[in-house]
Amino acid sequence: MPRPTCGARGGELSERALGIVLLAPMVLVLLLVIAYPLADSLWLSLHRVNLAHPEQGQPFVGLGNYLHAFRQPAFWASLSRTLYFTLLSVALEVALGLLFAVLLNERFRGNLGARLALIFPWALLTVSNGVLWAWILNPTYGVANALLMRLGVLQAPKAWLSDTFWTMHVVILADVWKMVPTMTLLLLAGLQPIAPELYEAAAVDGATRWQKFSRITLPLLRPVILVAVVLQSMGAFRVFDIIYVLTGNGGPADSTKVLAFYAYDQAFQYLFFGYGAAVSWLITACMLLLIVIYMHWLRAGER
Amino acid sequence: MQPLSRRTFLRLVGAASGASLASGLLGSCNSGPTASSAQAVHVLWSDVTHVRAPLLDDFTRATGIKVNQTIVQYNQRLPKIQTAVQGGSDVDVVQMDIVWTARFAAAGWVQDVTSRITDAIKQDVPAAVLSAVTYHGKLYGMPLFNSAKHLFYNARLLKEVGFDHPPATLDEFIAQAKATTRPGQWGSLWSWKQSEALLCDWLSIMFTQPGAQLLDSHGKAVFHTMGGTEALQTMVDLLYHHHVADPASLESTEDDVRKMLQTGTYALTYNWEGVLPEANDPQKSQAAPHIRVALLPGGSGVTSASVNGAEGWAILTQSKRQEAAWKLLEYMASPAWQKKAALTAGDYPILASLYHDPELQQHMQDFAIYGEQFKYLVARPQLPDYAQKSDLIQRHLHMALLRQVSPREAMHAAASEVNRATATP
Repeated sequence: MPRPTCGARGGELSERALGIVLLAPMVLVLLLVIAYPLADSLWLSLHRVNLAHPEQGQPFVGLGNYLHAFRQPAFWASLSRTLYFTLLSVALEVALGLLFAVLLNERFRGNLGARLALIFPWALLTVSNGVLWAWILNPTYGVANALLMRLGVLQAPKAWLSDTFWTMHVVILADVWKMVPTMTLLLLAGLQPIAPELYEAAAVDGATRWQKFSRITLPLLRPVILVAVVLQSMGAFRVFDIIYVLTGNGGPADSTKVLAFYAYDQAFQYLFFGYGAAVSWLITACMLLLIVIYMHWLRAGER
Repeated sequence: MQPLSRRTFLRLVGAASGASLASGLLGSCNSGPTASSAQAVHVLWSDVTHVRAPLLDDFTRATGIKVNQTIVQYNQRLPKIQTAVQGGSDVDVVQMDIVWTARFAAAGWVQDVTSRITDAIKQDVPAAVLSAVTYHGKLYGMPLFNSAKHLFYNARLLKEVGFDHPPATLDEFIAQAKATTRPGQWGSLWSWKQSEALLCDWLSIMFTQPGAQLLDSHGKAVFHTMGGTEALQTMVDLLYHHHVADPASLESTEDDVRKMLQTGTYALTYNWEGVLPEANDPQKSQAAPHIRVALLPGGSGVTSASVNGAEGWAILTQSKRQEAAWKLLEYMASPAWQKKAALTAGDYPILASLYHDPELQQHMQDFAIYGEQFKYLVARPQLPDYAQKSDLIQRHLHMALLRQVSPREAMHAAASEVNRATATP
């Protein structure tokens, strides 16, 4: 049967032109929603824009906003909290993700069920996750206190989110709980193509389980781990929503006020839009730096 | 397995960031107003329970002007208003907290309506009420409701330990809280999460001292030497010296306090009006019907001190429907709206005449107290950069409440930071 044609050959777009036409709307949308705001925020970051005082105008201040950030103890404190959050949460996510991926890569009854169960936290909206943990940790009717008191770990209910140490770690726990599935799935995808023959050969040579893991699995998984680490770090570095839902204000006593929260406060609470934009660019710079470091490691591994 | 090439790596990262961007964009889509026409005004406010929706219907029936609403939680309202103003959305009227009036007015976001507010309106809306929307002597909106914090207490728990009246002073408060604190039960619970609520309670305690002062006549912070330190010490003592405040206070908002009072295990709480109907509803509250309302405790020579939490409606300068918007404000200030809002939503009316209304007096259990509490209101300063200064104070208050610093250190640091904060980036 002859295939239907789209009309005269002369009237058809060349493949290249068609590609451009099909991509054009997306490029336009991306320009509108990414390129324009990016350029605008760069402009903002170089000007003093204080919306509460429009009479001051919007004078050009060069790198003034950036230098102002470096002079603020609150900026450095937020940066160190962000780094702590990023390092600890990503490290835990990698460790747990690796453990679950290796387990799920084995054949056992209920494997499919376990994989499905793993997806649940990931499918949850971050905000719902935050609300969920807020309920779990509620000092009066939360399940965490009830459980720990029944087990005899706690004598009296604990106000978890009133304690600077616990609040930061509870936020990390909530983030890890939600993000481990992503990590597990990425690592599982990396594990599956590893040829079983490698393990069989190693077994013939008398390798132990640990040797197989450290000499075969880990090196072959390294590139996937790096991708996963980059993605998770980028997410963790700009963390905002889970902290907003759990603490409302980056409290107690600013102990969870990470960089994104600091930028939000400056721009949206205090209306220092120029300064807020500068802090956002500093966040971007930090993330780029992280990516460059990871890329460097990756290339070192390829050689 | 082949090691990942750089190209594949970049592609993966790109695809993942593209996907997260797309989901972010989708996630941020919001249900906006349904329709807009010349005869429709768009209100951005916080009627989250939709209990005031019939009032807007009444307005539409009376004037033929439709009302579109965007409803957001209190904590999201300020960023939402800022986005509406900066993004040039078609919002006409916004609900303005008393502490935002200065900021909105100074930034030129809201319309000066001084000339529109007639003597007839002024006769029934007391000047103290209008102060919620006043900045530098000009009026920038219409008060929506009055508001103040009261003492809500569990009369049964007090009676069990021999008290037949609520505390009139802070000393009595501490004594009653001590007597009612026992395993599984706390004498008091507070909204001392690091937020505006914390500042409100600090002020309510601070102004029980005669001569307490926040700022001097030049706008300089003097609270550290004018009662602020003593107030903070009282708060710290309630937690760690008297052990009569539930440590959960440090992570609780007013709404948490309202709900936890209903468990029947707390004796004394500070909160905004509107607590009673639910707290004394046996279907919803284990504390029903024992919750009562009283004036906030005072001190030596001071009967009581509470914070003015009034809110208003303001017309955005950018609104293209100024006349219709004003009609809405006018209607909202009428007895028709104000009485119905009191009956259905528990709002305290802005009209002095309604405080003598027998129907309201009968229906609203805290009504009589409010008339009295209104005499002892503390106004928070009307400053364009209030939010930043309040945040600074909140952080230092919280640090002292967590015992990271002493109340004295916290207050001195807060005052010096507030005085330096005028040097904006």
